[in-house]
Formats: sequence, C-alpha cells, structure tokens
Amino acid sequence: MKWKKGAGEIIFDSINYTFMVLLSISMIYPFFSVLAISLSTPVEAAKLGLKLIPMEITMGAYSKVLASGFIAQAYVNTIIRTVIGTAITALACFSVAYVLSRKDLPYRSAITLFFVFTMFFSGGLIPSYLLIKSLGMMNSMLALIVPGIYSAWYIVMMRNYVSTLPVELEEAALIDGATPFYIMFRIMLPLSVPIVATVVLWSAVGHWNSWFDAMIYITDNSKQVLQVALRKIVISEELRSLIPGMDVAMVGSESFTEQTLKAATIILTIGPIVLVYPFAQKYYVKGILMGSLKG
Amino acid sequence: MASMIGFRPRKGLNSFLFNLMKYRHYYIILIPAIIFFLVFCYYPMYGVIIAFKNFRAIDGILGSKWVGLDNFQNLFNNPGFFSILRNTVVISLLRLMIGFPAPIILALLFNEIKHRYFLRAVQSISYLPYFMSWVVLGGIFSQILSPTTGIVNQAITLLGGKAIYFLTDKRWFVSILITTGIWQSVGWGTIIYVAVISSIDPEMYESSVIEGAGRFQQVRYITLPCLMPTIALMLIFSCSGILNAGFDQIFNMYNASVYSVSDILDTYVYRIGIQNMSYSLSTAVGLFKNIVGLAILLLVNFIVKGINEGNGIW
Repeated sequence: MKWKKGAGEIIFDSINYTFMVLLSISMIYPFFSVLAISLSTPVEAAKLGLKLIPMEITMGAYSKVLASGFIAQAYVNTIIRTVIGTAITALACFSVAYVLSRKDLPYRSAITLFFVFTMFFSGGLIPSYLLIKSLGMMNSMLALIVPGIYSAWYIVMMRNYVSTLPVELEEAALIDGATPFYIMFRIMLPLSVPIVATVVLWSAVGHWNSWFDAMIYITDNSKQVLQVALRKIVISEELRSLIPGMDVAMVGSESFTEQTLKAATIILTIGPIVLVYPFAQKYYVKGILMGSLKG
Repeated sequence: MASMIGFRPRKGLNSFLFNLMKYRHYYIILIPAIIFFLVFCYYPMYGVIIAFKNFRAIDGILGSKWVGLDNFQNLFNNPGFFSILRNTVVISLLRLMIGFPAPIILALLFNEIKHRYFLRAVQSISYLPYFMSWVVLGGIFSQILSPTTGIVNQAITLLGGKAIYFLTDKRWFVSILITTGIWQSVGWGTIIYVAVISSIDPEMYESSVIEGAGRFQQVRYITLPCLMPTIALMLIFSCSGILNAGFDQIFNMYNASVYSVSDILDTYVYRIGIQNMSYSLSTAVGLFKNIVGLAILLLVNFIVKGINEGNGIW
C-alpha cells in the first residue's frame, strides 16, 4: 500500500531507522572492542579508549594463551563434548520421535505424557548432583554428555515434524518387509533434515556454551571445558596460576598484558560460534518457531 | 511362539504381550529413553524428599533421618533468607517491568521498517548476543565496565566525570544487571512476536487504510489486539518464572561486594548446596521455589484467562 508520507511519518521513520542503527552498533561494538584489545600491544591496550582499530597489532596474547596447555586442552575437551554429545542426542531423540510419531503405537499417549511431564517438573540441583555422584560419573566427560542425551523438548519438536511426513512411505516400506530401524534411518531421517539440523544446532550451541555442569562436576583442570576455563581466567581471577609466566610479563616487556590475555581467551571462546552464526541463525530461529507455535 | 495365523488376542495380559511382540522394534527403541527418564528425571524428583530429611551421604536417601518441616523452619527463621527472597523478587519484577515490554515494542518497531534487507540485517545482529553464554558476556562486560581500562569509564573521565565502579557498587549493580540482561535477550524475544505479526491478514490493514487509519492507529487497533493472546501466554510464562531471577547472568557477574543486593534464591542454593554441602537445606530452598513457582503459574493463568476469556495455557 502506498500513500503520501506526512511529516510526522517521516520524522518517525528517521528516528526509527536511526534507533535501529544504534541498536545494531550496541550489539556488535562490545565484541569488536574485545577483539581490538586482544590484538593490541600493551602500550595500545592502555590507551585504546573508544577507538576500535589498534595502531599496532600483535598476536602475542593469542600465542601466550594457546601455548599454555590449559586453554588448548580445554578447547579439545569442548570440541569432543560438543561433537559426541550432539551426535548422540540428535540420533537418540530422533529415534524416539519417530517411534512416537506412529499413530498406531499402543500406549502412545501415555508414553508421550511420561516424557513431556519431565519438561514441567524437575528434582532440582541437589538431587541431580547426588545422582551423578552415585553413578560414578563425577569428573568425567560422561557427566557432561549423558544427562543431555534425551530431551523431551527435542523429542516433541522432532515428533511434530515427522508426523507431517506422508504415512504411505512407511506403509509401503513395511509391506516390502522393512524393519522400523531401516525405515527410520534410510527413509525418515533423510526427509527430516531440516528439523534434525535445527536440533543439531541447538544442541551444539548448548554444549559449547554449557558451563555450569562442567563447573560442578569436573574437578581436574585437564578435563575442564572451555567456558569454565574462560571463567577461571576472566571472572574468578585465577589467571596467574593457570597461565604460567604471567608474573614476569606484567610490566609489558612482552607483547601481552593481563587484560589482553583475558580478551584473547574470550575471542577464542566465541570464535567458532561467531563463525557458524550466519548459517546457524536461520535454523535456530526456525527451531524456536516450530517449538513455540505448535505448543 | 504360537503361529500368528488365526490367533485371536484376548483381553488383558495376552493382548498386552501381543502388542509387545508386534511392535517390538519400536519398544526396543523406546526402552533406553524410558530408562533414561526414570533415572535422570523421575528419580531426582523422588530425591526431593531429602528436603524433609537430615541427609547424610553415609545413610543414603532412605536411611537419612526424617525431620519433617524442620529444614523449612530453619530456612524461614534465618534472617538472611528474606533478603535473598527480596533480591530475587525485586530483580525479577524489574526484569518483568522493563524486559517484558521491550521485545514487544522492538517487534512493533521492526514491523515499521520497510526495507527488507536492512531489517534482516538488524534482526540478525540483534540475535547475536543471545548466542553467547553469560561466562563470555560477563567477561566482556567486566572489561568494558572496568573502572580503569574500561571504555565506558574512559568516556566518563574524558567528559570530566569520576570513574564509576559499575560492578562492585551496590547502587549500580542491579541497573547494570537489568540493562545487560535486556541487551542480551531483547532481539531474540522479538522472534515470536514478529512471527505472529507477520501472520496477520493484510486485508485488515488495507481496509483500515481505506477508512483513513494512520500507522499509529493501525498498531493500536489491529496489531496489538492480534498480539494479545501471545502476549498473555508469554506473560504467564514470565510470571511463573518470577523466582528465577537469572542465575546464569548473576552468577557470572556478581561478587562479594554486591551480594546483599544480588544474591538470589538460586545462587544461595548453589552456595549452601554445592559449596557448603548442606544438601537438605539446599533442596528445601529448591522445593520451596518450585512450589511457589507452580502456584504463581496457576494463579496468573487463572487471572489471565479471566481477563482474556479463556486465552490461557489450559
């Protein structure tokens, strides 16, 4: 619809557009600022102020951070956790979702309710903590992966999607003598790529950003996850003990300071997320729509 | 196993077993999931009873001594508890009052942007903070708000002011908490509202223009009423979460100098539970929180249904 714009509308639009630009800047600026600090020499970092691009760039902070085994090890742990955890979760939840999508399955509603009920009620932190302890999973990768294998939320989302796939495919395959396993993996899964991709992304980002479980269950620094490593360096101020040789470098004789080291660690942690963001974002948004609008 | 031909399943056990056999492939897939939920979801629910016991690791859950409501009494008698409860409610209410309308308003503003590519770009950018964990964001803000090297304070001192200790000053901390919290979630929060707005029948707008409606009136008489059911639903969810004041964020941004204003139920549960190992007390607080949360959920759902003629969760 086109109509002539009145003065009021022009003013409103210019304010709105300006606001949007400012909003966007406010969302991006903090990240660029930290990036700039991470690449600055000690001299620059101290006087960088509002500028975004440092005059002199150095990779000193990054090489120092990566040279210390702590962060590098945490990176490896996090990647392992994310890849394995996501793969298992996606497959496990998909298989359950497929089964629950079969409308002729006896006791289907009861079983579905059994799963969905857990979305609303939970035992809380301490009972779960004690459970992990008693299962002997403390201080191991298992504690980070196993509790997340099945998620009622993902199961419901996937089930809703699979339900929309034509039943004739299944019936034809069953008549031909296929087992449900075969149908699930060779027929349904390829057709369900959009929803599986969505769950994979949600699960992957969730694992990457996950810090609380690692914090309470993992005690060895060598098994620690990137987020907790970051937390120790930036928030709980354990920088000195975790990155050796810090005391020597405080005066700025080397190419980093405490501040630039912290900044470099932050950038390393969010690096993969930011790189994946452009594609991930689409699926992520779709996921929340599929989840909330269907209810 | 008897041949299936001419087999007439009888009621009860036989039909149950028959179903089990026929659908065995499916049930096999379900079994690990059922075991999983029993172990990781339902068993901890049972574990909640340690809130009514004096739990000791040696005795286990069943062996620990039953103390009834003693833990809860200790809790309410503890003077610190009420300041924690107060912090939780205050922070939640602030988040609700400012943070709840924010995505709605932003969604409405998005709706007024006519350039598709510009809008897409802004929206994509606005979702970015939501992808970051509070460990990362807490780290970033601690750098930006630092009294010595932080950008904000450098700007302040440049303009002639004194550096503000944003994160350790009790007067500033909660404001920073709310602001950064909204910064992180406002873009993401618009998604569901934008989706609903885009599903509004364009004919309604067209006929309103014919009647002489301006853009503001269109928002007031078409867009907002269409959003009402969604807003009501989101409001119910937000209200029921009133005792969750944002553990992730607070835990990564708070420090000892601001405990008195930012210690909430969940941070308290963590400290006395995991750090101090007062398992029973910690579970009691958690249970209290869940029960009150549920009550509020039912109450708000009831109220909103009453106002909105049945647009509740149930």
